[in-house]
Amino acid sequence: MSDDYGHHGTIAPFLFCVATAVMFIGLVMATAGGEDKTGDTGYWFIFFFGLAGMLTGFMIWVQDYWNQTSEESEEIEVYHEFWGTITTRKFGMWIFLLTEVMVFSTLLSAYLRYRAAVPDYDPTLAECVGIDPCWVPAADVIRSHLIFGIINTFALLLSSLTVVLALYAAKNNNPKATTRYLFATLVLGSIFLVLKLWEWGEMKNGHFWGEECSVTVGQDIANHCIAPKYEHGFWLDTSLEGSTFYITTGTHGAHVFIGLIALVYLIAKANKDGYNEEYHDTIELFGLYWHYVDLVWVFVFPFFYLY
Amino acid sequence: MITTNLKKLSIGFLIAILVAITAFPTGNGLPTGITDQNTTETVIANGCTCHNTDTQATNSVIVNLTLPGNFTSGETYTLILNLSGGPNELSDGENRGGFFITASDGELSPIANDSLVQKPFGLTHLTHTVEGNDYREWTFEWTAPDKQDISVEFVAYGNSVNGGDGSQNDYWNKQAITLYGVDAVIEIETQKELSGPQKIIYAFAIIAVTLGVVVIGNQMVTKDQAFEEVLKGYWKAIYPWLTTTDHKYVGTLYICTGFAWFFIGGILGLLIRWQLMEPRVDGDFLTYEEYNSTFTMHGTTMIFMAAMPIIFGFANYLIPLQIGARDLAFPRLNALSYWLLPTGGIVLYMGYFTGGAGDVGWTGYTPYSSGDSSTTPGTDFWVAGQIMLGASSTLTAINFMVTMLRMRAPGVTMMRLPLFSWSILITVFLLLLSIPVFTVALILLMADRTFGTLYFNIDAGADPILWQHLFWYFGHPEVYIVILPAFGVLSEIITTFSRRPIFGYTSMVYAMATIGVISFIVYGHHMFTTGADPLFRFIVMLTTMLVAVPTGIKIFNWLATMTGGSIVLKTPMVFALGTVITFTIGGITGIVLASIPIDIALHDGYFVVAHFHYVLVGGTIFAFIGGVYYWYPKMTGKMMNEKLGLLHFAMSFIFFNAAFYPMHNVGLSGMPRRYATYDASLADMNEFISIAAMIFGFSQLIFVYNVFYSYKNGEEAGDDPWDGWSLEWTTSSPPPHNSFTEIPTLKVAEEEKQ
Amino acid sequence: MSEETNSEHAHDEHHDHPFPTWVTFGHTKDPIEGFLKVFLWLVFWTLLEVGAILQEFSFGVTMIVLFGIAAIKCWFIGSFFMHMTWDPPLVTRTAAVPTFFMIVLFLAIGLTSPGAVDDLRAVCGF
Repeated sequence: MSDDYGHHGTIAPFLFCVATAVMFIGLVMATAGGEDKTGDTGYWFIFFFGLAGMLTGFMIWVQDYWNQTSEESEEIEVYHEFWGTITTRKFGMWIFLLTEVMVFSTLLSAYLRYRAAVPDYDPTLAECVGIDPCWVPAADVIRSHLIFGIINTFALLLSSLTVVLALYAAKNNNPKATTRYLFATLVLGSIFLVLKLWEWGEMKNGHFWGEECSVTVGQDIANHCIAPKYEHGFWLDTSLEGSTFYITTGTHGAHVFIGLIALVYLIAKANKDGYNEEYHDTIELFGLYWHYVDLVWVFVFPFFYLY
Repeated sequence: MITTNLKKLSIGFLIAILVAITAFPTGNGLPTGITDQNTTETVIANGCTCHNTDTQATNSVIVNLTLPGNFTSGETYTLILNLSGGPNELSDGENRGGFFITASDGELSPIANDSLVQKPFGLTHLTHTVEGNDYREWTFEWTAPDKQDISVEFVAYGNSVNGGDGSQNDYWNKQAITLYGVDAVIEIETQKELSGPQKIIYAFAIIAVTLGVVVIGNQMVTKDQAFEEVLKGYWKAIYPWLTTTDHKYVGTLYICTGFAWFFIGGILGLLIRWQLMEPRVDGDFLTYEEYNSTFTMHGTTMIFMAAMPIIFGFANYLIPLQIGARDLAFPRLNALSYWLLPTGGIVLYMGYFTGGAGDVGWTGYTPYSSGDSSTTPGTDFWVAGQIMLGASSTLTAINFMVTMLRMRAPGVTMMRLPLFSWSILITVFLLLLSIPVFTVALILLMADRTFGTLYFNIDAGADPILWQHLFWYFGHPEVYIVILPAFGVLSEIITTFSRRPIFGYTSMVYAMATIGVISFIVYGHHMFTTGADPLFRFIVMLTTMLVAVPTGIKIFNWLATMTGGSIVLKTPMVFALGTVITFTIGGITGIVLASIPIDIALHDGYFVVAHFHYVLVGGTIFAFIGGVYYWYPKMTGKMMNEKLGLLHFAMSFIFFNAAFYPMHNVGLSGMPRRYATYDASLADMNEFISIAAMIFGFSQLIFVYNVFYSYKNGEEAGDDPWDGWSLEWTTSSPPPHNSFTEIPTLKVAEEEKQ
Repeated sequence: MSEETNSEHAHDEHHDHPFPTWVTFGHTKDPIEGFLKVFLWLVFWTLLEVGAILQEFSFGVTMIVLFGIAAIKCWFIGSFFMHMTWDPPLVTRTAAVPTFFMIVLFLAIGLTSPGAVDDLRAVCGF
């Protein structure tokens, strides 16, 4: 098998895929298998086993990069100038980000569809008597604790800055600063996730109450009382508002989480060899992904948290 | 004289009557119920076997016995036996039903003065009376035995009578239920019988293991090797395949895997055609639910596990060769893309081991797929498997986009790319932008099924049509994803075998690009019957008709190429010609369906099935089979057998058309798709279609034989057996390990004249 | 042996990464300072967003304000953090590709629900 330019055969893809299959089989059986088709909990072991296999495959995959200290062997000669103005991997990362644009566009379009289908709750509208047929957005539930969403926004914005600073620290031959900025990014990203999960828990359990609304028409929802349909909490199976909120912010959160895993690798590598002037492209690539994740939040935040 | 004759006559009559009586079928199906000892024993042993020509129980007849939760000794309980399903649904009327019930303990008895149920004298069971056979529900009593720490088994037989025909065409079933006494210890019931598909899969597994034992055993004996050595030898042969990142090997893996799943999908298709050989009741061959799984898995397998892998296989193999690169931009990612395929396929098929594969149609419409009536966890596996396959395609798309834009050899400008390369470039562009939408849709569906979200839940105010929008936003570009590479293959083959360059290269490129972009704005034509906005439907109708223009340009360009060339009629060319014909027919029926009023009449009918099989089989599959014949010499260094190839073509072309053309007719006659049976007036057509389809299926074995035979015994091919001009023909057959020893430079013919 | 034509971002001590003057309130030599100012702009726009929502404008005005501010923040992040201002045109053009398809997606999926737009024809004016 060809290895003329550094890509030898590797078991990692095969292993990763087998592990993914095991993980999915475990997940499906654990949630939908068993005699009564509502889940056979014995399969959770299989699920985690698959997850472990996926992680192992990933680690074998990055093995090659672990010992690399230069990009030389990676780059392939280009004969058509326009297309060669950025590196292969940077081009690949941008194209990957296009697919992510479609992912989040889909989630936001579905949200728009449902939100545009019914009027927002307004006490003066006839069809909103009884509140249920009208849209009571997640933003209303969040309003009384909006500060956490704002902290999260700043954390993510700041983490984008720290990634850029890490990249420039590397370019300026300051590997220690690079490691520190990468670590700061990890901390900020973790704060984001922790706060988000905590927020979710509180909303699910029905905390963060303003005053409860009475059902009489004229009660001013604008003063952000909590609608009766959320009296038992606001979770993904409570209502469409809940489903769209949690799935969209959840998908975003999953992307943050994956970014953090990649970041752990980067920090470990930065600590070991140090990124420097010659070798820092990986930070740039990670940075593009991370800024994209921040970008998505720039749209999710106003349309789910504020409005 | 009359007296003598009268005597003879009367004796004659007597004899005749006696013969008639003895000849009279003394079946178990007595309208008077099972009343004598012999018949009782026969029924207990074999069931109501005189009814129903197959003498088997039928799943569609449902025998329902209402019992109390448990019993106390000495108590009398009222039981109800109820029959439903079967040849007709009328519940009461002459000769509608019969029953027979036994209890292993306790005493069964009719209710006093009930004329519908009898307990034959001297016997312990209950059965229906003559009057009782006009009903389908009977009530009677049962007194519990003295002990209440035992279990009692009730066996109830129900016969669903079709109201005439004697005992022919009645269907019966039986039900055994165990009733426990209040103090009884309940035993856990053992596993139920395996389903049909499970049996097939286990059979295959047993055969595979046996083959494995035989092969390994043979090696051990003939080569005098230890078991470990034999395994090590095989491992050494397999391991490079598991770990390769070389585009040629990955391409080969894709092609072989794709064709393997093509055959599995084909078997599913033949199961469909066997089911539709004649109108059948539920459970006759497949149950109606099994049929739903069959056409679902047939569609999903053919598109995602056969067509797309074959396409990616050829793309993997040829694109670097055609653009003059050594490999793809991200070889390991490429391997990952491949391995997601067989593993994803296994996840997809897990449903067959867990009570039924996904049965929601390859289109998976909600709320059927998000609710309780779809198979569980079969449908969940169907969703999970496709998520993996979607990831595979996305990674492939990224890989190819970067490769084709960045890694072309000197001289290979965009407008000098071979048309197959162009077709792949546009295909991956479509993949890039449409698969993520489908993956999100699948995740939303999984969330609804598993986590209780309400995205497709009508009661919560959601809109199940959202699924259709998301699916078809992907689904329509998807069908162009499978046809554009076929166009690319056709262009390659037709030019080589017409001995001239393509007519109108530039227009071919722009046509494919236009088709690609327009494909995103036509998807509403799958949704004409959903009550969508009239303006939306109108726009979509126009764009769908519009997309025929660039397609037509391509077809005319192929024709013009041939007209201006000198044709060499070898197998690849013969397949290409056949493809142009069948694809054109399919394209025309597509325009027919683009018209909203016509589509509203023909939606979900066999006209649509005919249309898409003409474009998918007649377009994609035929083109890629032609591609195999064309590039096989390059990949293996051997020529395929020409005679077998032409025979394969003849059989395939004739029987494909024989099978699928009449589907237009039955579709126009109103036969719905995805139904396990149909109106009896269409039986002859369907039988014809089924037989033709089976011959079509079996004739593919000629192709399989040719592939394997030629690998061993084919003629040496040399670098360029067909005298082609694209870069892949400049390297050896098969290409060396790193594809090109030196990156070549593409020169234009005119340049070389200098 | 690799011949990367990436002189555009040959990163040395003296960055030739000019920031638009209005972003950095005057010329700045140090890109770090430039990025910090971009961050401050982002903070500013976020505060504006929160302020806007507290005003409780009408639906139309709120949509325009929120979407507009989001787009502006998007521009800041893309141009500076993602380096698009200084990258070759290939990057900008690649990033622009999904635009058409996103618009189709939003219109076709977002606005075709029965309650969203009662009759597209009426909206389009014919």
